[in-house]
Amino acid sequence: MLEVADLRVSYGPIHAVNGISFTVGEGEIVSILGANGAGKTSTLFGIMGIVRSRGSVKFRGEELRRRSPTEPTSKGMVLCPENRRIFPGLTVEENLRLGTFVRGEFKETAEQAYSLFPILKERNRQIAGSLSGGEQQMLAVGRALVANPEVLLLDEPSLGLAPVIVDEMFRVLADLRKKMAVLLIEQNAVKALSISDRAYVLQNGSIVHSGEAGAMLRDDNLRKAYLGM
Amino acid sequence: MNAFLQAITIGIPQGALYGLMGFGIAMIFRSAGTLNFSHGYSAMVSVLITLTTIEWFFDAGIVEGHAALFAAIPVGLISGAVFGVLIDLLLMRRVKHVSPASMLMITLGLLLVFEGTANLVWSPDYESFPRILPGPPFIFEGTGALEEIRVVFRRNDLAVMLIALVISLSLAAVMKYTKIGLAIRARGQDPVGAQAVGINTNRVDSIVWGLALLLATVVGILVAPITRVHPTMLMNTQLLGITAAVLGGFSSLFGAVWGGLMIGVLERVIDIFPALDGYETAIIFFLIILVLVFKPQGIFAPKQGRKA
Repeated sequence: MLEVADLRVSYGPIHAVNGISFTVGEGEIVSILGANGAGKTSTLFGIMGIVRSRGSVKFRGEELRRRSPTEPTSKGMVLCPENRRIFPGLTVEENLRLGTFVRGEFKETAEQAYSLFPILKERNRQIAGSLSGGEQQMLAVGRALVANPEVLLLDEPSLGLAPVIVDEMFRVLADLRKKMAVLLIEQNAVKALSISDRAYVLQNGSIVHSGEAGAMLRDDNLRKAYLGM
Repeated sequence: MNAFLQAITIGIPQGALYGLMGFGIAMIFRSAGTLNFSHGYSAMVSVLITLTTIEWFFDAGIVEGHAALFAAIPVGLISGAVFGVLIDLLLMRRVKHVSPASMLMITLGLLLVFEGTANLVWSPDYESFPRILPGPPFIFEGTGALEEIRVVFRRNDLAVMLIALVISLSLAAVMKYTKIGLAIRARGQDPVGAQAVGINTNRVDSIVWGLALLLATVVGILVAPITRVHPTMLMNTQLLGITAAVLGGFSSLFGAVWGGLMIGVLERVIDIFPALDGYETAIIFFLIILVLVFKPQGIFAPKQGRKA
């Protein structure tokens, strides 16, 4: 469904992503794991056209030009960025409405987001900046879901959240599997692998390992070498 | 009493222009992320283009008399928008990701470029500029108990106030109800968030620059009959426009309009007292310092939620 080949992202002389290739299939949850600075976020930004990138990104067999995030988003690739990146001065509902800026019918998709995260419905009219960190993360995921994604690109959804909220978040993500493909980027490798089908390990901008998520969880050498567990 | 009424009558239209100037400056600051020091100077060049067009229409005999002004205004406004879009496409887009300081330096450089262009291509002389509504001023005189009241209202100020009001209301509607307005607000609040919902932030920036400099040209055309046309004609308006934006708080665009009105009236009210003559700007900037110290979000800033 999503095929990335030889993706390269550089910022001036610094190469953040050195020609990586990976795929995400229909209804699959695929994780990209790696430490800080491994190039995870740059990979997503490159795919979405937020930063300039070279290489090929094909969605349903069609090559994306990636001049701006408008094109990938309108085709159904929706990003939920790191650090939530909600609009703090707008209300919860306005934030969700903005999620349908280029794709999705708010009236139809909002109910789905509200049913996954009932707290958002409760806080509908509240200014988003006044939500707690966990609620803001739910809003960020909700904002991505109202665009009715075919592939959801999730960047560090567990960052800075209390463990109980992380569990809640991953329970919701596991449920999404039936409706859409998910490309998950995480530092929390155990959590990510436990809901993923496959995973790639990114180090210094290159993929150093890939495989079935279950097998990776059991592979002691891999865990020690790359995932620091 | 009479002096106060007179001060307010002159101050409000003047302040409305500071406010519109400040609105554009705040819009660029919030969206594109830099303080545009060349704001008034590019508008000044657009006013010169308008003036030249008027003269050209006149000489060619295409349009007669006052109609030449209205025929030339669209040319001036378009030139303003074109300057804005070009500044964004050719200069800002290249340095946007480098640092805010480099964008600031570019706007300072542009100030000199626009001023130099005006001196070179046109002239450093003061040229007169036609009013939108020519004619004698309105004079309101009180009767009976209010006999002492005598307020002079410049006819052109009527046009200034109406235009400022219509523009403010339509901008409010655009920002609130249209897709592009929503995109501008979203981009100002969080650029990555805006891109995550599929907004092309580069395009938003171009639109913001074009719109803001078009707005500045409107202000330039409206103040030109008073200041006359010369290379530094909008220096004061730009300075007080920035002040209006600070006073209103860069966090709310319409705060700049209110801030501008306050400054315009204040300037005239200070004028009433002979002892304070010449200190208007000093007093206004002193107030700005107070605002920055005690309410740095601006006096009209909405209550912010906790940062989480």
